[in-house]
Amino acid sequence: MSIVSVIRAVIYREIRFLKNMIPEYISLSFLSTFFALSIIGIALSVSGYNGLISKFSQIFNISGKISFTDIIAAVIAFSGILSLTTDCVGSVSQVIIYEANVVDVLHIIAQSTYLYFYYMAFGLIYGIISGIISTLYVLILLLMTLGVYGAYVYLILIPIYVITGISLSYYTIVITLPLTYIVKMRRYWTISQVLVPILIAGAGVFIPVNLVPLFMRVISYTSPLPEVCMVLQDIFLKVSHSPIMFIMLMLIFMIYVGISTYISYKTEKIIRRGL
Amino acid sequence: MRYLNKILALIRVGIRLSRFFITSYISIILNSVFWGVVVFGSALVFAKAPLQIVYLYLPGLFVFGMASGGTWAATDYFRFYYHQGLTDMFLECGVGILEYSLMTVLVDGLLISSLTFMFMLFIASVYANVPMVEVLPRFYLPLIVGILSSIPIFIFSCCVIGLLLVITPIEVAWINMLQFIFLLGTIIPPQILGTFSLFLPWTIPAELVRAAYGTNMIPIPSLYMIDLIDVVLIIIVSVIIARICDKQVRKKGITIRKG
Repeated sequence: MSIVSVIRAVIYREIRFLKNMIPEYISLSFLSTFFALSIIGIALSVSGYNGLISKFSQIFNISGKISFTDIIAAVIAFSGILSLTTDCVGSVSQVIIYEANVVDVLHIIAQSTYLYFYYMAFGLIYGIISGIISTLYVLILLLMTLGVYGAYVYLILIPIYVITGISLSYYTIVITLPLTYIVKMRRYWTISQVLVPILIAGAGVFIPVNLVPLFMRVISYTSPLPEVCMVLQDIFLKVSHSPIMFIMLMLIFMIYVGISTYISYKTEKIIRRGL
Repeated sequence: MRYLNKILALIRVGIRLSRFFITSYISIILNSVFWGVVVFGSALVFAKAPLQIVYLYLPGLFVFGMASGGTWAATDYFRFYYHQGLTDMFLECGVGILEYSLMTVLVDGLLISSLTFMFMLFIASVYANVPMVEVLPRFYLPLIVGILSSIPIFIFSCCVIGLLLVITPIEVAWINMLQFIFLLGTIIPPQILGTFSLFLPWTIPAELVRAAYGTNMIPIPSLYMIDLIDVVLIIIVSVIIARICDKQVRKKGITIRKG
């Protein structure tokens, strides 16, 4: 099978599965929104309206005036990273380990195509689907807070979400393949259960990454999340980041594609020796 | 005495069973702590007086952890073990949902909630930029009473969610959302929610833990009295729900979504 046929097969499979995933996406959207609004709610309850706005401006070094609606819109946009990371890292890692150790469909895939074709196609397609579907609630909430302008903001955000989704999928492939085939991990849910919150907490997401304690930042720096959060904060709050951030984001994306292709290729060699 | 021996035997079995899931427990603790950091860490950074957040919101985390642990124990019993064929084996051995909740309360409930709470206090002190001593509880008697009276909350949530899992084909994703009901009155205190939250059964143990920080709404002497009534009522209601649940399982089996 050529890479194009593999991509078509993966698209078909993921769209077929999408129906079963609706409760998960609703749950993710609810939890991400809830987390974002809780942060503002908790801070608001002890700081008051003006206190929150002044602290927010001080933390992000915003020189102009910022309204409470802007803050809400910003945290909603940042919350998209929560659902995107949970979905991408969780699903990609679980699918890889589940296919290899539980349902044992690896033989069928290996007979039909190169495994690294399959993993590359899976990372790409799942990243795109997740980048759109898991952040769809952001559009609804931005329309509610900013009106029609919210749709325009979402159009700017969606390429960032999609690129992040693909990078995160490839990042997860890089982490999960060695754990599946070399370490031979059995409890597949522990990867997503631990990795997702560590990455998110380490990247800050809602706060500048330099305010996160160093011991939590370390693991997060291996992922594209800190840079993505900086770009999002730049778009929303016009903090003085240079446009080099966007180029950096694309570079990181390319690096993950490269590393995951290499790891997948090497894994295939190991697997085929054992098959 | 017979009941006490049975409870002790169940706890012993629960501890032995938990040894098979050590990696899962570690991942649960890390998961809870880091998700907590995402919310509380950011809120502490945005707040003008971060210590106020620690004293008002964080104490409820312990009781929320217990209630949430109960929901996951029920999910394990009626979904995870069901798919492995172990639920039937438990039922044949006379371990219904009530007995299972007693089995798991020590590790899934108390141990995980306590460790999560302690780690969260440590990280809160880092974010608030204060010494660890500042975020520790000040009064230990209400704290101990609060911890002990949160045990029935674990059993209650386990039985309620268990009944829900038996009579409806509800998916685990919805349970994930449903557990957030326990936030009302625990992490979100009555000072924010209003007095209606005091009528929620899980608010009273949370109030006792908050009393350890001096942020309780009900005065401490009345709190002990109300807590005693609350605990007795919760135990009675939990036993009734568990019996209904067991009867339902024996009569009609467990409802699981097909496909």
